[in-house]
Amino acid sequence: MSFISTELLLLVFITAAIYYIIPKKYQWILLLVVSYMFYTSYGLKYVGFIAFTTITTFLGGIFIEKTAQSGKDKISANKATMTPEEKKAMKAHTKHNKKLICALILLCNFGVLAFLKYFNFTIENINSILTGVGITQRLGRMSLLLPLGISFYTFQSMGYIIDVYQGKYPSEKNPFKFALFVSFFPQILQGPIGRFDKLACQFYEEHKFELKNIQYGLQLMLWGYFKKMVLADRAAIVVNKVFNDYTHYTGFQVIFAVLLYSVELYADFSGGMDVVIGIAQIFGIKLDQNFKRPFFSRSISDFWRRWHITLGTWMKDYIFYPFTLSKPMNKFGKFSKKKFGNTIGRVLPICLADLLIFFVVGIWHGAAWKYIAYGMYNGIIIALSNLLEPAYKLGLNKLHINSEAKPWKVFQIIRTGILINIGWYFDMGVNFNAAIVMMKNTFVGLSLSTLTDNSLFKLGLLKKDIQILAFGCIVWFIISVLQERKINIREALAKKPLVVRWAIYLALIFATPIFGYIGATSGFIYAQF
Amino acid sequence: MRKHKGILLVSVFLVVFIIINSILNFMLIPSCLTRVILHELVASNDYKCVVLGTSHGEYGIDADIVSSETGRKTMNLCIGGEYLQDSYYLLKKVFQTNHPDTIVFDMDYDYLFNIPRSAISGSSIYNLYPFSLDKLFYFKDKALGMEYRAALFPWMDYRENFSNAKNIIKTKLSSDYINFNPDTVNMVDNNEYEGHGHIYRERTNRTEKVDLVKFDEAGIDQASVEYFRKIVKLCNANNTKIIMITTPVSVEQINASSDEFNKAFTYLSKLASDNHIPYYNFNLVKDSVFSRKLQDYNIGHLYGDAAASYSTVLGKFLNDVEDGQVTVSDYFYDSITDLKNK
Repeated sequence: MSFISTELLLLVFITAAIYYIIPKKYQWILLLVVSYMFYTSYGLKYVGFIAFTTITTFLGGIFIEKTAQSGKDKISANKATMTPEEKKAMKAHTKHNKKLICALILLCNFGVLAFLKYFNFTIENINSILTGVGITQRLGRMSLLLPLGISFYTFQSMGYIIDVYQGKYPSEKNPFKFALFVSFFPQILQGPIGRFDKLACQFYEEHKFELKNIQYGLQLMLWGYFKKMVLADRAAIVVNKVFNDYTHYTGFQVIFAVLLYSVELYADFSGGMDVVIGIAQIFGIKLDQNFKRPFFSRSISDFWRRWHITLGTWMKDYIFYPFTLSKPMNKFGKFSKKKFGNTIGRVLPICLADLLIFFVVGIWHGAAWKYIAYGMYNGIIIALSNLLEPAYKLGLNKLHINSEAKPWKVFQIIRTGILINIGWYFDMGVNFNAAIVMMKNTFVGLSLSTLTDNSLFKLGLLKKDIQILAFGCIVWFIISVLQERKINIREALAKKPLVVRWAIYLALIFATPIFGYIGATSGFIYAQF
Repeated sequence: MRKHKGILLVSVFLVVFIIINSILNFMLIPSCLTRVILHELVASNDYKCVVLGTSHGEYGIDADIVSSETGRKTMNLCIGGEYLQDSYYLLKKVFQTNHPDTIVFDMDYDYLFNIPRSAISGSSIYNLYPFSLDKLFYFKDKALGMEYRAALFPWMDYRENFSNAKNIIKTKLSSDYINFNPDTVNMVDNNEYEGHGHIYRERTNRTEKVDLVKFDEAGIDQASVEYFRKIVKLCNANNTKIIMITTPVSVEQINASSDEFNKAFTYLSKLASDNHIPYYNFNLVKDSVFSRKLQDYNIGHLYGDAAASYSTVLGKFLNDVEDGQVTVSDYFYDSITDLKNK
């Protein structure tokens, strides 16, 4: 059931109608039933995987809490007789057991994800090595299912188990309520990756019918469809043509395709998010934002704080901090401070953590070297900018550049944009080698005549399509600038007279059939993770 | 009170939306043959033979010639872009309005593969299907899985027609349109609607090309196969005989991809036998019975004069089938090899 299908809209509207009619205490049950119906629509075979994650994580949470409680109970029961050492030992024992359960759940679930997603990739690489050392024997690939949304629901569930382990909140006692947290249908395929403490209470509380929620939800959905159908699907034509047939294109043709990939990916992913968040809002549930105008970023690290925000914060909370605060990294920090001085010594462990995180981000995107290269490219830039920050500040001072001046900010935004676009070569390239060839071809055939000889119009889009694309991007840019200036467009719109509001709503509704690209329907890109 | 105001506002907004959408449907969707054909079907209740299929049949089968050969009034419901699910619902309409004794299913195997997933759905049959309980099921089967734009905005396929809206409106307000006159349909220059579902294509100087075709059994859409079963079942339930045929493509076309055609013919024969219906593949029709060449085709469709010859053969054949006197070997080669070695 695609997010642009009629059946999805029908499902949302019928569910919403029932949701606000039935007694409020049953609302979450309806959402659970519909979520499983939605997931089952992709095939019954996938349900086992999500059920496995749900059950293991739910039980894991309960056991962790019980272990913690039983440790506490033992200490309080024997308070008088226990020595401080015995208490300490008991606490350590409890912590060890909790850790063991948590590790087991993480291992099981990440194990399933890693096996399904990366087994064949690993086999391919082992086979390449075997070929390299002259061994003719080959390991066989397996035909593996990759359940839809597995990366998203696994990360969301694992976030929960780590939080319960860390005692951030108590575990959920109702397995069905927990199942809804894992499977909530709007977000299961492409996120955003939610946190239990923010989401669960929203799922289980009673929601009254509020016209504002429906209005705002529909507005977001329409805006998301606009981005997807008018911009992303249109940009995809050029992107697919050039990237799939990369040896035939050079210079500005490649640059044009890469720039359009920015449009495609951002419009597709953020459009998908708008639809997801809009649907959730219809049910009175507020999901986390996943984008905050990333192309206004002034650095790559700023970009990753604005792009796929929920994945970034997940990485930060569950990998970056535990890694940098771990004992070995503490030791490494002390060692590097001694060796390289305070400034670099302080930054080096952070650089290592950045590299680790972006390695994971890369491999999260897919089982291919190009994704690892994409992740490492970002990681290296961030690590280097951390390392070179003192020199950078010194340079600014020497050149008397005010880092808060507008022209400098604009320069930073453009510079970041260029760096981001270089990264897309790896992300969208057919493979790692293709990305390198495309980079080379960008400079090989760089001729200004490409801009005037209409060759950009021979990449699959008509002049009219490019005009619509450009106009759509301008509208989007203006909206983004307003949002960047902290103007709440939806609130501002709500204050307009009814006729103006309705005219804007109708324009948005009719924009997708009038200006949207018509062709083979492609789903949202991030719905394949 | 506030709650009621909200509901009232939503209702008014929906009404405004429906009105605008209906106006766009009216001003952008031009008069089309499907509307005329559907009218011809429901306006008469004495069709004894109905042909279902795709554009190959629409151009290739002249229902009037078949009628005169068989002596049984025939209606050609082969429509361009008619997928098996469309055929199924058309057949339902056939049985509601007529009592045919024979259904001829003209199977174009290509339609088992390229199921419309895009916004351009070729769904004029769905859009023009009369409102009924069947339409609700048709909606479930056809429109539900499609992109929402295809279901909500039928005019989207014709959005380039804004500049022509004035003419479309004028046509739609004319008595000719109201009376289902096919002249209100804007046809390609060398095409003419002959009635009862047949388009006559005049010869042109166009050079027909041979396309290489591919048949991959694994890629067959099983939902379409299921509709085929439903079509057979529906005929059985109405005590109506159903036979499957395939309107021929050119011999040159078959020779160019003979292995693929062989696979396709084997598959279709099995499909027919699995459903206990006879299959007559006119791609294997003997040269002495119906001779066709590449030049008799225009983008894979028979020119009018060739279609007339083919329809005469088809009519005679159906007559023989009806009389139980058909000798298959009189009409067909046994295999593509025989066709090649003719």
